[in-house]
Amino acid sequence: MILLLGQWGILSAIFAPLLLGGSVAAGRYLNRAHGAGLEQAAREAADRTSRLRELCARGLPVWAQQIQTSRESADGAMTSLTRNFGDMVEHLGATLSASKVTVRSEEGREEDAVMIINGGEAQLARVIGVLQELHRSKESILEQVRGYASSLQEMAADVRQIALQIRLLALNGAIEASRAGEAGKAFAVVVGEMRQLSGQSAEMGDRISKKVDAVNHSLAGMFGDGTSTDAEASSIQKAERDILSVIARFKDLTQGLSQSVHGMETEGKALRERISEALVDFQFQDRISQILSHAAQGMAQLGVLAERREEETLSLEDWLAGMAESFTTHEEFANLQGKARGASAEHEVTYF
Amino acid sequence: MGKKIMVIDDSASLREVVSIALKAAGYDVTEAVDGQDALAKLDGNKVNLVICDVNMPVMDGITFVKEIKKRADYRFVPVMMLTTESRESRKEEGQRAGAKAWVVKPFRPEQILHAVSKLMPA
Repeated sequence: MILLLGQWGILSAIFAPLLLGGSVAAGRYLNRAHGAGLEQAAREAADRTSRLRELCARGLPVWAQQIQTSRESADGAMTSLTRNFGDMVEHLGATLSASKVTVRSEEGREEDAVMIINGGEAQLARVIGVLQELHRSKESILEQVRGYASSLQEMAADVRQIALQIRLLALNGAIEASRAGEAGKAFAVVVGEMRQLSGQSAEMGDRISKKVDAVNHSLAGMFGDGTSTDAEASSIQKAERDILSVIARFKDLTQGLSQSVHGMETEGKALRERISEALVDFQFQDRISQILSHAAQGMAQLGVLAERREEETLSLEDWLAGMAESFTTHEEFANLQGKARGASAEHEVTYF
Repeated sequence: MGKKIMVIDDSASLREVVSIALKAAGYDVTEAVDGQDALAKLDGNKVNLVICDVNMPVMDGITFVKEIKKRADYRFVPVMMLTTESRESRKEEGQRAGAKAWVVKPFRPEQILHAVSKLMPA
């Protein structure tokens, strides 16, 4: 395209000397021809000049308009394309933001699904720890109570044993009192009291024993025979395993989802960067548009010159200088000088 | 609300490309198609920076910079020229008019954003 434009510039530069050259050639020809064909040659030269002038006057404005129309069409299409790509960049940005689902915690932190599950796992571990601690302390208390009950049973048995020994002692005392006769009567009264006390002690031992049995029975009712606490511990362990298993599955699922989201995010970012780069490349349209505009402008001016017959007094250097006045890009200056594309000043920033 | 930047260019696609880069960085962008349109849109409205093309119909960028420097409200608003124009003489003309930077198209978005942050510190 640029080369084509260069050719337009060169073409417009060529027409002017042709017009001038036609007139000059005609003059020379007249000077040389002193003979009969002088007038004929002059007419032919004038005809050629006239046809060339007419060609320029009518053809160049048409070409200029064609270029202008093409430039406007390309501008419109490129603007629409740029907007569409711009929308894509915006949508991709929105999609990337939407893929990051987070929840605000009570402490005000932004947490994603993996963080929430990790937090839940830690919380449940603490709850299970508390339950296990409670279970252990309950077992310890029960063990202590059982120990006390056993001691009480032993003490009751001791009381009964002592009562029996007192009873035997009272029996011996009664025998000795009867042997003593009248002198042992008072002693016999004491022995009787001892026998009564022995009976009461034995009765007390029985009552203690019965009470301890009742307490043991109640404890057994409350806590079972020990197998129930084992079952309870087993239930807690099972619950812990189940909960951890569910959490682990959720964690796997969430990590899988998280990896997918991360992958989509990476792809989305890469795509967004590529589209942004494409948008940068679209800037070529601005340069093309300007070059085409200058070419069309030059052709139209040349057409007007031809129409007004001004080419006869035109200086080629002035014409080229005037054309260069409208140029802005490196490519245009390089084309004017007949050079290959010069080093571009792309991405050049100057601060004042 | 981000800082306000006005983008002046007769090429709609260029305005779009510049706007996309600026909006993505959080700036609030208004657009104008030439210097005259920009002066009309500026009238009374706050703007922190202007990014302006040089060669435009109706009113070119250099004339716009000269005009804006005559207005008390906008005299100190920095102007960055964004153009295909590469002649030193035009660049010097822009500097004399009061432009603060001269960026030759095509540009990369990060270049524009860097220049914007340099001319308009946070």
